[in-house]
Amino acid sequence: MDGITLGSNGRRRFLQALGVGSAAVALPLAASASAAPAATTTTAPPKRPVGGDAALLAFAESVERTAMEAYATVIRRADSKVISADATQMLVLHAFHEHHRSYADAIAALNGSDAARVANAALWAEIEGGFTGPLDAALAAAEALENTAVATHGTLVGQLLGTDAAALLSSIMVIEARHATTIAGLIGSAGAVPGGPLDDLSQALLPENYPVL
Amino acid sequence: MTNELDRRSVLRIGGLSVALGAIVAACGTNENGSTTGLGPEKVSQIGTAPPLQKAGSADISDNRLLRTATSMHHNGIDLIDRLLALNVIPYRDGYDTIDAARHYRGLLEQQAAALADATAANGGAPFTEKNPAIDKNIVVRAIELIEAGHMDGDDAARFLHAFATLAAETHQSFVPLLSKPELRGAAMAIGSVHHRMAAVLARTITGGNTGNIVEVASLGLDGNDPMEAAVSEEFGPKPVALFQVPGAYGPLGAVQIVLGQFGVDSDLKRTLQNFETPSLNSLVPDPA
Repeated sequence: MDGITLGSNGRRRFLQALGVGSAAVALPLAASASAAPAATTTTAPPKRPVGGDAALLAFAESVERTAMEAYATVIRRADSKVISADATQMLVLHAFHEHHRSYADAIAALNGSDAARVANAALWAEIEGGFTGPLDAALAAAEALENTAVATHGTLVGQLLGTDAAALLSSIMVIEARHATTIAGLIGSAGAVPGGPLDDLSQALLPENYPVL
Repeated sequence: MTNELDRRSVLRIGGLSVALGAIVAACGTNENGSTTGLGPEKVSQIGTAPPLQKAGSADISDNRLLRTATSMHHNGIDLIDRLLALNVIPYRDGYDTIDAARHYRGLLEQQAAALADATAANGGAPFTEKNPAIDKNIVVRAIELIEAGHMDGDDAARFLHAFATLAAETHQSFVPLLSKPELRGAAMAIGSVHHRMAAVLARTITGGNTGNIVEVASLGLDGNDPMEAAVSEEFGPKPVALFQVPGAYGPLGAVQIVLGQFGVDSDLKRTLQNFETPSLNSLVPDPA
């Protein structure tokens, strides 16, 4: 890219190098250069959320608040001795609960006035039963929920236009993948070792099936 | 008026001469060619230093990133082969680091193929080789230190963990650089699996020690002490504490690991190493 400048002559040379005839572009380029000398030529993707990003982020936040509620449910039941959890299990439950709280707040902060600030009612209705049974079943449900969150965020990363939001969800989903693998190790499920080279994004929740209300 | 100089005049003229001399000297050209008066342009040097590397092109295209990601997977395959050949990865009872290494190698092969396919689908030329900068600066150097360290496999296992973490960070760091959302999603579908492998390796290396399951100090929670060292601190820097879940968010900083030999004062000395994600000097160009 050496030698290519933002001036009209430089841009013309660049277009010529790409095989575009100078006669066809000279006048429009000259006109744009004189009318808007500060016009940018960058093609970099947007950083801030744009277009439909706000709705996707609100959905992602609602999933995180649902995960918060799921862990909080198990912690409450253990605290009230309805179920029995050892110190390590309690530590994991508390830590992962705090992580999901942080994720929900971070996504909401990025989304500003479009933040959901509520759990996803449809998702909670679907998974609540898994978190109100015995501890082993609750941990298995937590592993499944973490894997679902990974797939959901991975899919959203592939849809979001703004790179700030994509980067945030990326930094969240990788730790949720570790959550799932760690829980699997604790309960001895098959997910204790990754089964394939790519996370299966087909498990993703679709926003249209889990509206944010 | 008298022609005789009194003592006060001599001192006055002498002081003026010194001041003028200093100004003229400062404005002149010195023997190094400097005209700034601020000293030589080139500082003398004793000993040798590696020449400065020029930064590569700042043209970061999607295909360049995809090719770089592919190259890292070939580095991973190669380093596992080397560690297995050296027989330095530990095997204990049950599923252990050597099983994890073999499993990881299989995943790396499939991931490299997937990334090569993505490169071709994006109009680029798939890359099928190791990244030379990563090979030279990370893999070869680390294996040299592992061999010198004689740490009964712990260093080798920790290096494998460090590489999985570095691969994961690389994918995550590429997300804001990739121009197409669908490529970002594809990159992270692979990056999250590297994180899963890092968690598996942390579990095997720490033997499932409960203090190494999740980092809780930053959350204000009290947990068990993490297993930090198989060796005494007096022999060198403390090994980096490993966690299956090292924090709330995927890190992007340098991956740290202590490697090398105790009790020597050479370039094999046991020290803290920092591994960085690929940057301009290690991105693989796209010939297209």
